[in-house]
Amino acid sequence: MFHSTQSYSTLRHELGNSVNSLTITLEVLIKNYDMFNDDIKISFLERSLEQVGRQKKLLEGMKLYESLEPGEVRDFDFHPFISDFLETARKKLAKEGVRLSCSLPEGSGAVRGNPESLGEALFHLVDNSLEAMSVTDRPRIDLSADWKGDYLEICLADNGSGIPEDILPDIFSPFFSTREDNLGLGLSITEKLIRYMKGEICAGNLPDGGTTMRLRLPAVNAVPCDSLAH
Amino acid sequence: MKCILIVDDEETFLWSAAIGFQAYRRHFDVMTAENGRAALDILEKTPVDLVVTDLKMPEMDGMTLIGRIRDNLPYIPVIVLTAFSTPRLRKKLLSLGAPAVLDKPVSFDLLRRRIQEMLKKCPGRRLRGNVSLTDGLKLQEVEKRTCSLEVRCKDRGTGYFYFQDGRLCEAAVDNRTGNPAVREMIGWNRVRITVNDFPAMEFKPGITRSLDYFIGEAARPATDSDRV
Repeated sequence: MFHSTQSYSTLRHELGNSVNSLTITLEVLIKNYDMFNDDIKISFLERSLEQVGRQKKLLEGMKLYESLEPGEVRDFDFHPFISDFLETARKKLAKEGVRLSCSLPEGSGAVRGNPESLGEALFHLVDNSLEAMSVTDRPRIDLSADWKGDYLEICLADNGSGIPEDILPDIFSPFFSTREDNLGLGLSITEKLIRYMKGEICAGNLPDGGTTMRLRLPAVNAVPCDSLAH
Repeated sequence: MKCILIVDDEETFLWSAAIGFQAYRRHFDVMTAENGRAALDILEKTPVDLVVTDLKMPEMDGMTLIGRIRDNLPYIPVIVLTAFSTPRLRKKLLSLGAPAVLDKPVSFDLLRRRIQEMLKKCPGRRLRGNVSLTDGLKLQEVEKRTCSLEVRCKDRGTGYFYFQDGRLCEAAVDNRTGNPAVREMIGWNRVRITVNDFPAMEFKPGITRSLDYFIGEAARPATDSDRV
């Protein structure tokens, strides 16, 4: 199911902690049942249910990631797609006070993939940037795209907090998150969608702060793109 | 009255455990802290007899907390409670003199038993006089003790030997455990030895030779065939 031991470790940690809290809570309730009044019994049961909810959320996340089925891969024109995406993204970002700039290639061209899946992937990247820019003074996202031989390259850069270098290799792992309230699936879903479309994605930090996400998709009639690492 | 400090960022676990241990308040009091930094604040102000700590926590993790306890309050025993124990992690904990590890999820009764066993153990005692390291080690073997020996050597650092019923079963120094750790330490001179009793642990023995073998080996020039 998962492509890294990081995902397994994170899940083990999350489940282990939650099952531990649930175990101790129920055992203490049972041991002291006759001594507790109704209010405290309810508190114990509510806390137990919270832990069950937490475990359920993890299971739902596993199911979501596992059953993710990107739409049919086909050829589609990039310009109409990105225009639609930018229109929606601009509205979303305006509400958050984030400036969006874009630089697109001239002329027409088609890519091979699924437009809905690509849109979903890009919105996950936008959401990730929004989280990273939560304390940025003048938040900004720069989206650029260009044809690079046999593939189309899309870059999405923000001026947020960046990603610590030591966790960069793990950010596309399912359930990897630096935030308590985040299940850590957005970037892993993005990576899975892009991979399904025979593309690639990588992340890096910008010299002046912020993060850039670079993804490549095969251009029509192109062979699968070269590794981004090259 | 003994006092234990439970450190974990799982609020529900702390809440339930603190209420559950109220039934044992004739034996020990419980304090809680949500991370290593909060735990250190408590340890600075309050006498604590035992620390039970998680490892992965915000602000200050459990490994850092154990290091601080080892440096400043080495007489306080530590039980590690973690959802993520690995052989590498256990090795690291051994080298910090913290061999008691419980895997989450743990039952309330097992946690209580371990706490009470650890509280019963005698405080660490220094071996007085000119006791050499080999004599200190042999003494634990003869007395069939279950204990750890903290060995401090001014020029070489601090290491640990672990005995189970008088058998040398593990050793740790820096990043080494098992036979290499024994070989590193066995020749240390002018050491300060502190013996800490602890309850029987389920050690996966890392030592494959007897204590006499290592003492004999250290006393003669090494050959390649010895280094097994």
